[in-house]
Amino acid sequence: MNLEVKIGRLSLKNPVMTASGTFGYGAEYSEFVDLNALGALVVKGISLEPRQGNPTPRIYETPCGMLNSIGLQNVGLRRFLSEKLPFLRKFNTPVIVNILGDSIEEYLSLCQSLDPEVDAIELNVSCPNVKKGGISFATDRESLKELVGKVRDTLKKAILIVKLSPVASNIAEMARLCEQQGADAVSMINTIPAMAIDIETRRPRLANIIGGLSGPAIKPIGVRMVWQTYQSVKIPIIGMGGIMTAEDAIEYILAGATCVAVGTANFVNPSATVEIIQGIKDYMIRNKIENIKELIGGVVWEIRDR
Amino acid sequence: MNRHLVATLKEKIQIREGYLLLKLEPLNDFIKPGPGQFYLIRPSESFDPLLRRPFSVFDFSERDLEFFIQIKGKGTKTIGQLAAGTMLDLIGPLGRGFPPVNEPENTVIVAGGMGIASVYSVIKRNIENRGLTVIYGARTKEQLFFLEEINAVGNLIVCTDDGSLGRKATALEALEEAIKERSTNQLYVFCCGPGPMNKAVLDLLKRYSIKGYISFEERMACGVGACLGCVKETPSGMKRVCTEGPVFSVDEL
Ligand SMILES: Cc1cc2nc3c(=O)[nH]c(=O)nc-3n(C[C@H](O)[C@H](O)[C@H](O)COP(=O)(O)OP(=O)(O)OC[C@H]3O[C@@H](n4cnc5c(N)ncnc54)[C@H](O)[C@@H]3O)c2cc1C
Ligand SMILES: Cc1cc2nc3c(=O)[nH]c(=O)nc-3n(C[C@H](O)[C@H](O)[C@H](O)COP(=O)(O)O)c2cc1C
Ligand code: FES
Repeated sequence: MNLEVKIGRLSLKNPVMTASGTFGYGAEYSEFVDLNALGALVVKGISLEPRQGNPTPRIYETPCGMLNSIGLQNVGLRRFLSEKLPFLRKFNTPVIVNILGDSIEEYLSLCQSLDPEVDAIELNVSCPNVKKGGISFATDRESLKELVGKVRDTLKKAILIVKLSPVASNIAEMARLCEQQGADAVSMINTIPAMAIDIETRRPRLANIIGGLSGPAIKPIGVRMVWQTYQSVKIPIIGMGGIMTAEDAIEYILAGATCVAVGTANFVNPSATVEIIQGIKDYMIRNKIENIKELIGGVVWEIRDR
Repeated sequence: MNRHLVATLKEKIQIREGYLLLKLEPLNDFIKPGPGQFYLIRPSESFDPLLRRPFSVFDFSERDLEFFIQIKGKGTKTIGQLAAGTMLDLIGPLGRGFPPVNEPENTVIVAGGMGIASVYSVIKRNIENRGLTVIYGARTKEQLFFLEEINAVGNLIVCTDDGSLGRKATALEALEEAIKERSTNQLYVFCCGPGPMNKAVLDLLKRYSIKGYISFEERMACGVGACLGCVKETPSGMKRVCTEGPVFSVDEL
């Protein structure tokens, strides 16, 4: 049985990775998960300087999902390189570093420092482009095009993944733009901006008012977006959003994902990633599938006229 | 041996309407907790409620773990409906608990409301010492529990906001008096209460330059330091309540 997949030049032993921000810097879960078993490990988003993040409460549970407004708290590039990366390097698992910035320059300087050190960079583009009045890179074609093109020219070694946001009015279009600018893959979906109110106090449940919705509640949206994107790009898609079980992962793969990332599920079941890998193998045995690639985009569909 | 366990719900005792004592027996050998540490319990296998809920370890032995739980919302209601014999999925012990009590005669334990769940095991482990002082406050007497067991320490000060039992005072007021009565500020205070009480106790201890340890609550998702959901702002930056806490020493704050 062959579970190996490729993103650009990078080979992964299986298609299951962690979703940024839900697995810390790896060490936090190493007690529960054999990190060598993962397809790849994606770490919490890193910025040039450390960030404090938002005030608390930062978390609120909603039906089959959760809101978070962590606010991209992270240790910053320097401490990531000196304190976090050496641990991750001990494993035989590709390390993908999610990065974020306020400006194209910030992304570029992160890329320059990280390029020789890591296997892949995942650009979190759900950040405001401060120079362009704060409009998000994820929704503005021009900003996204410039960002991805310049990052592409900067990276010599690391694979480039662009993480797209479900707030883009046409995510498949954005994915194609990234492909044209030389991205090796796109990942989707990031959390969906959402809100909840305590009706007794009449106050928002999160200090930041708005947070990102993740978990099983968003899975059908993620599956739809992966499927639409699969119709319009040739580069691999990393699918995520509400993957709790192997069945969910296979659904994403059938929709067109080459890889899947497990996020909120880690909180609910710390060994979710390895159980999902095992469950995919069981499914392949049951359905006599030799190579995982046979499943990618394998949803069977037709449009019927009435 | 890792901290992800399956345990049988051996006993579920309703202490009072809306308050349960759960006795759990892990199936396999488990890492023993210390007072003030906590566990994340998965309320159900369904995805609603989704996240695990944090609970202090109330008491423990070589074989059992006990939790004292107030039914609040969806998660605790689901836990409350579990029948004895059910298997529960939990992660723990998590976080940093209370340090050992070295000088019982100079130690004051302060519990506000459900905060008793976190400090009970400190009290129980020092019951023979007799020197320990415990201040236990709640809104009314219906919210005070295990008084007989705690009373065995000898020096228990009970207070209620409405005066329905013990002194009509807050735990904070009782603590300030206890501090003033002593000639020395060579005191150690161990405290767990609701957010505003913890904050007031912190201010008081700083004012009197008294050493202390306070257990805080914050909303949690992972419990292991990965999601950064549970942070608390401190002079040396954001600290994770699940990992650097839930018990913080006063000089860290
Ligand atoms: C370290 C720690 C130890 C705790 N120990 C105990 C204990 O021993 N006994 C006990 O009865 N309670 C304890 N609590 C509080 C307990 O976790 C909450 O009452 C419980 O999570 C409420 O869940 P719910 O679904 O019933 O309520 P809901 O209000 O429906 O919960 C919604 C969400 O908010 C979270 N939440 C609600 N209240 C709190 C709170 N006070 N602190 C943190 N998260 C909260 C829930 O976990 C859940 O994710 C502790 C909390 C922490 C952080
Ligand atoms: C607590 C939390 C923190 C996150 N932090 C990041 C981040 O730093 N960068 C990023 O690109 N995505 C971040 N995400 C989004 C996830 O990587 C993922 O896209 C999203 O949660 C959907 O997947 P899920 O439903 O499996 O969690 C975060 C999500 C959560 C729940
Ligand atoms: S609960 Fe996730 S970091 Fe504390």
